[in-house]
Amino acid sequence: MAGKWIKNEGKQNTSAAIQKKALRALAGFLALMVLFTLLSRAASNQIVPNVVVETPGKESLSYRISASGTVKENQLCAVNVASGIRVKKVLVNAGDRVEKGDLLLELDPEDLAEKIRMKEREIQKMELGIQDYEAGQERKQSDQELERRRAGEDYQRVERSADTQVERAEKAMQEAKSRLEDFDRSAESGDFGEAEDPVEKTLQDTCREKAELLQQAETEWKEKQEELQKAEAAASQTADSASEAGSGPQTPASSGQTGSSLEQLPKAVKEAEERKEAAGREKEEADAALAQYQAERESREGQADASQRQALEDAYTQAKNAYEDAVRQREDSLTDAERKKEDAAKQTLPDSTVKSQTLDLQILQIELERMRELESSQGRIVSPVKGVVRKVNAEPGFATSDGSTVSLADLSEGCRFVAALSAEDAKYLAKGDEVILIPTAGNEEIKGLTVDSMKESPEDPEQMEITVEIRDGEMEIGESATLSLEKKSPRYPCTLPLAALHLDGNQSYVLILQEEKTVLGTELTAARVDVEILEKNQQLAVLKEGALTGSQQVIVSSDKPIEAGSRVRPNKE
Amino acid sequence: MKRRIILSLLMILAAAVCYPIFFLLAGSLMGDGELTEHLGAVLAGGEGLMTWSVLPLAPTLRHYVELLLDSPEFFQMFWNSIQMTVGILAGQLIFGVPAAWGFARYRFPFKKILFTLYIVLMMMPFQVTMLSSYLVLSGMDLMDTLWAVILPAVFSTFPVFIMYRFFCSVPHALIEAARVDGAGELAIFLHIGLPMGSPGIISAMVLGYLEYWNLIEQPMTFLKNKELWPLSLYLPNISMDRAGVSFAASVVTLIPALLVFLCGQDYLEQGIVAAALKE
Repeated sequence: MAGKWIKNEGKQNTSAAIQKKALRALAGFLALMVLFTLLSRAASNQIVPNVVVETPGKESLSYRISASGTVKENQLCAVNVASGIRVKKVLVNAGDRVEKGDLLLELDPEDLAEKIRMKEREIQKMELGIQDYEAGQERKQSDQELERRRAGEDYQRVERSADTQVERAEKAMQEAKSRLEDFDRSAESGDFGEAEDPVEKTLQDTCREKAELLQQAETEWKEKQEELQKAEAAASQTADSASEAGSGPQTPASSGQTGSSLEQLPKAVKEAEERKEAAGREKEEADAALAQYQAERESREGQADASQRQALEDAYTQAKNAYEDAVRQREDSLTDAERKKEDAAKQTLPDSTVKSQTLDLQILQIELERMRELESSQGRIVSPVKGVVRKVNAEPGFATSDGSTVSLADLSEGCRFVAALSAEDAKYLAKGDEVILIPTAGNEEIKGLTVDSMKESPEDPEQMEITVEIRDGEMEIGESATLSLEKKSPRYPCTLPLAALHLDGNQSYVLILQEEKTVLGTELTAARVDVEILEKNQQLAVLKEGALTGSQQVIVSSDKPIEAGSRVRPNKE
Repeated sequence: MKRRIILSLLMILAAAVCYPIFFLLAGSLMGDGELTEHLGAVLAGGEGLMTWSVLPLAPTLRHYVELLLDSPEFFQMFWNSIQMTVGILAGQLIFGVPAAWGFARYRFPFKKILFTLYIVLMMMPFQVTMLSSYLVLSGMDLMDTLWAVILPAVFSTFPVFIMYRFFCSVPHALIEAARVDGAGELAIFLHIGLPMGSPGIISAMVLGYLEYWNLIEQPMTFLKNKELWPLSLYLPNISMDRAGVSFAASVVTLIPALLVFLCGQDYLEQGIVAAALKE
């Protein structure tokens, strides 16, 4: 019992101990939690980036452009000296400032005198040359005139002879033609023109006779036939009447005739017919013989005719060709002669040799004048203007060269400041804008100058050349300075510092402060707002309206990197 | 032999019950990579099945550091939970204990009906009374304040019920003796009732603590202001990237509850025993 009691008590003690421990542990846990609360708050505050915020402003953009350049002269003055003259002394160097009338260089007087003499000689030669030339021109003129005349005469002569030839050829042709025609005509007409052939004549006569005989035979035959018919008719009549009358007296004539005709006539007719046929045959034979003879004769004659005709034809053709040739030749020779005439009549081209030579002469004379002037000034070259020597193209002991011997920057014309500006910056600049020049030497700024011109730089098309007129005495030629310009644009309704803009690919955005209710209360986080940039300069950017309101606070900068959604703490200024 | 079987059965059951705690502890010490590997199938839409290992391959305290040093909101919510819980328990002490004493020791008209009402209310889930509570709180302008959660819980019936049982078990003779000695009702309540019923009170408190420490529905319904949210609402969404911290947060949330339980374990036992006993 006691043991159980002790066990119970032990148990109670253990549970009490556990209780105590648990209570202590709970207290310790809570204390730990308090500690961690503080730690975590401290840690998170450390991590939270401090940001500087700004509301979008309504500002105008000012563009500050600066470019460095140098002062250049407005006008370069060249001092030219006749070339080829030896220089004795050069008294100035590049960069020297000279007043008007200052001695620049001296020329060698002896060399000058020699050069003058040479020049005079040259001039003389040129004058003589001109004279010769003019004489030559006159001669040429008269030669031409002669030629023209001769050409005219030639033409006429040629014309005449050609005409004659043509006439002759024509005549010959006509004759040949007429001969041919005659021949043709006689060939057509046949016997009349030709010698009679006795054989043919005989044959022809024979034919005629035969024809006549035939005619006779035919006539005879016809007569006989008629007679027969008559007799037959009479016989029949008699028969009829005899039959009718019975016995009647027959006309003795008719009956007798009839009786005799009837027996004889057919025989006569037949004979006549035979005679006719024979006559016909004989005629035919005669005709055939005639025809044959004629044919033979014609063929014989025909051949002779043909060859004769051919010869005549050939002659005609020849004569025709000769005529045509003559015509053509006439034309050719006339054309030639005409051309020669035209050539001769051609005016010579206006020759400006005299004029150019005269001009050359004038130039030489001018050069001589200059040389003489130099001589009179004893070879001293002075500066025509007040200025700064830019370049000296002469060396003592050497001859002057072509081109300017000394080039001076003409100070009386003033000077200008030239600077190069990138095309992007030059966008903001316009002619007439007021600029400030700050000399590199540390002198005072020069205000009140305006941009004179802006053009593409010849050396670099990407750059623009700006020129600013400088007033007298403000700056020296050759000095370098910086051009500075500040331009204000009109007010824009929504501007932000450039630092507030971020870029995500192609899209610009800003981070604005946004209140968020979290467990820890109202917290400020960064929220992304996409914007569109209209314009910007080196400090400000102009945003398109609508993206931001005037009350939104934009995060301009932070001490730690932030992104959309991160907690921020704005600096309370 | 029988004991051994019973013991082993009980051990298995205990292991099953305690397994989530080990799961939690192991997970809170695992690195992100390991967690993704195991839980990827569930949380990150990966393929396959979820796997787990009891001991992490690469244990790390990174999640605890992140939770305890880098998350001030966790502490904000922690203290909100403490405030709520302490407030509710205090309120219950002030209102619930006398109520229980009253029910236990006194007779008054409609006592039975009232008590029945108490029991009925006790059985009702929050969702049933949610709307009416909302309307009442809104009418009282208590919405979006901690009082919206504290006040309804203060007048909860459950602790009254538990304490009632204990107060019932105080010997009547003792009270009578006190009365005879001239103690007033208040004196009796304070000097006799409370000490005698302390197990009940403490058990009610412990149970109450366990309940109100894990309160989710009421804060979610009545508290819109995130500043007032309790710890139970710290990570309603457990996403893959916050899995480790969720485990660590769960472990930290577990500790006070565990400690309170250890403190009041005895009394809880007594309370449960007392509830089972009939006087």
